[in-house]
Amino acid sequence: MKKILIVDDEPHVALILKQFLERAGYSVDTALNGEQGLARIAEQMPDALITDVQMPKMSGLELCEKLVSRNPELCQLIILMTSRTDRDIRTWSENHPYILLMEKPLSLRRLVALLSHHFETVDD
Amino acid sequence: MELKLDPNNLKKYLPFFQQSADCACTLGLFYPDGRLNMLAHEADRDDFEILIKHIEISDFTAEANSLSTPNFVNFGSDGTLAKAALLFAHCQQPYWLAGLFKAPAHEINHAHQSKAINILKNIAACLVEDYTLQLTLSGMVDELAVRYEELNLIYGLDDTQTNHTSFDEQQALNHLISNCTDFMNVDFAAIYAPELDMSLEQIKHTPPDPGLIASYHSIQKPLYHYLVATEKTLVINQNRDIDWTDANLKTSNKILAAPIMLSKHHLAGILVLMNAPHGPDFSNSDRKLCDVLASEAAKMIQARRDNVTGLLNRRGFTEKLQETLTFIKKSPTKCSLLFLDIDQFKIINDLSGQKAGDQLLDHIGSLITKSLSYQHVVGRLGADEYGVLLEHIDLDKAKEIAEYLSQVINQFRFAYQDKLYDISVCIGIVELLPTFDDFSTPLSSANLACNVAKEQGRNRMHIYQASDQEMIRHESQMLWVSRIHLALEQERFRIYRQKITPLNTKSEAKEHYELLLRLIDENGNLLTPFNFIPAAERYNLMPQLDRWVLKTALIKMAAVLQADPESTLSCSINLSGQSFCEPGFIEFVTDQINKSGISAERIHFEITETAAISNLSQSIKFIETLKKIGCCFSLDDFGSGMSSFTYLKNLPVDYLKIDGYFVKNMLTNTVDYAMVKSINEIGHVMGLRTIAEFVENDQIFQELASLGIDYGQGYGIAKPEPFE
Repeated sequence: MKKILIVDDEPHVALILKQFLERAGYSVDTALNGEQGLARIAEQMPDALITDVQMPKMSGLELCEKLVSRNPELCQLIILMTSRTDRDIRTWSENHPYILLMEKPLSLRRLVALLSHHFETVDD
Repeated sequence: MELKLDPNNLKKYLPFFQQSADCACTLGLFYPDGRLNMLAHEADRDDFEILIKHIEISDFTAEANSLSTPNFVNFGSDGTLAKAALLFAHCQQPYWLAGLFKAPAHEINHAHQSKAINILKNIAACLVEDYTLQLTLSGMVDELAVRYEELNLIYGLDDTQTNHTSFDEQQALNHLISNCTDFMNVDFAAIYAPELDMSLEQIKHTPPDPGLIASYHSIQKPLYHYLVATEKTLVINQNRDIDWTDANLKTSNKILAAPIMLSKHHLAGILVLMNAPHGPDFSNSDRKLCDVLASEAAKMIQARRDNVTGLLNRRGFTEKLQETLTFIKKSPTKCSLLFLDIDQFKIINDLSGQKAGDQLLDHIGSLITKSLSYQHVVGRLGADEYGVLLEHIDLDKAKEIAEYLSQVINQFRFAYQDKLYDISVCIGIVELLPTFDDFSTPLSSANLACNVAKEQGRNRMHIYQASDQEMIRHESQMLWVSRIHLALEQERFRIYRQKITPLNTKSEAKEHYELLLRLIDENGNLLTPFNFIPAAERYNLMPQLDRWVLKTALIKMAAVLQADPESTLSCSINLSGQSFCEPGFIEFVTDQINKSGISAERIHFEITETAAISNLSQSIKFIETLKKIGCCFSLDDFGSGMSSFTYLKNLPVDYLKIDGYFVKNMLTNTVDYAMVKSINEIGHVMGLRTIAEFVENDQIFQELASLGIDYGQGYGIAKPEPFE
């Protein structure tokens, strides 16, 4: 079963995503901020990471940067969720082939479709 | 909604249960299939596993179903099995909560037994609550997921397709209906707009359900007519939801159809969503969402349509043109573009009003559309301009079509109220070449060709050829537009003056000049107006130039008058017809004169005969207004129009300037001589003073004086000089 880590400081967002992804057949873990997320990743590398951008303690961007700098060979899919449409975040994410930007509220169908497509390609 | 209970849900309750007995015990859940899933310490797990193995599930479930309060059941009474007991309580159907003891029931003392029963009952109650909460939460997740999809649909928070603006109409609408099948849990979505010659369909299931599509095709037209009549969104979840008076509308599918309204009572098409008979019903929120999407579709259509004619507008047309260009780059097919401009449309607009103009535009639009086969694309590109994209038509064929179109339009007579207008068009033709970068090249070439045609008169056409002399001249005129703008910006225009003197002693001896415009070009050469005025007139830059001349002249005159308060200086300023027809120009002139502090009597205006006649009522109004404050007026180039005398009575001017063409040759040409003489006589009869231009030498001067002409101007008197 593919493991997905959701990092979001709003518990209800994480819960909804968790429930929906579990129904789609994934094993889902959650964390409340970048720091916690990084700790979870240290325990076990998830197959995909879904993280919010704006979070206390450590933002999603910092989390991604730390993750990428620690694992230069990283090929896990990272989905950045943002409720803002800042151009800099968009351009930032375009530089990382495995980082995808999705606007909140997420289309859960699209998210599930995206994940299954990603895993199909990776497994091939 | 079925939700699975997990033995992990029991974890938090296990410590309480373990207090109930002094033997090892654990909690488990019986699943509907009879499986028991339990929590156990690793050490005890094997014992419990053995226990479970020997439980006759069928016995147990039979008994369990009959029990509503927790009870002990003993297993292994034959003594061969580990001694164990099972306590179970009715939990949320279809689950059963089980308490397992590593001892037979009779070894558990009574107090412990009743305590265990009580605790298990309470745990069961808590589990029911947990389960209900989870069910609620799960329902809320479903609901939120649907709302998120709707939000994505309405706001287009679509991350994979970021550049919607590059879509053309059909792509955008296709995207809209595929969103319906992707996000709305709808089996089939379609847009049907016969008026726009558009029918788009999207089905969710692969392979497509032929029944659903066939059913849609059978009700498409009746449904459209139903919505045209009602203009209301229609929901059919059951056949009885609507009075099917029309037998053609019978279908067992679920239907949601919304009208796509371009304006009140203008239905452009319908948006149809369908579910198979076993699919979900359409809800109120589906209906509202469908309404929103229909109005979204209307916006997409409107953004590309002209609301006067219903044709594609410039954006819609250029999208098609771009598409065709991309197509011809790949395939060796010939396509052509026509650019049509209605002749003298402005006159109709001015005389009969904008409503008449709009009606005419609509008529011409449908004349063009009806005269062509439907595959050609027609658009309205500007005020009175149309574009026709002829697909698979080469230049020769395009010329034939253009001829036919101009013939059809020329035969059309436009009647509005009591007036009847002959209508004609000028057409520019260009062949689309694969070498064109984008749509703007053929469009501006066709526009240019049309302008060349227009210069040749009404009802003409011209084919664009890059080497065409006419086109080159025309293009160079267009270049003048930016040159003039630049010259204004860089202050390279200059005012010159040429003296006008009395030819005989009777006339007032004032210091009077005609002000002339000169341009210093990019290389420092002095250019006369003949170089740039035609372009300025063609591209409507005259008002700008005239404003500049007036403003500058007044400043210079004020400087002269300040230096010499006794001066009798007065000046004539040339004005073009474009200027005095421009709204706000009269106010500008009076305002400038007032600000300058110069007495209005010192300011004369010259307007040409042709300009005055072609805008007769405007000219009269302009002249009368400025005469009231003291300005004088001369009619310039008089005699060149030849229809002059009839209009002269109506124009309240003070001076007649005899066209220099007659003056120049009057000594050698008797007709010219007679013209000068008679203009002068008529002018005097009407109480006007006369001015002769082109007085090139003394002989002419003498001759004019003896004829009694009042004033003269020309190289024989004084050459133009800078007005400094």
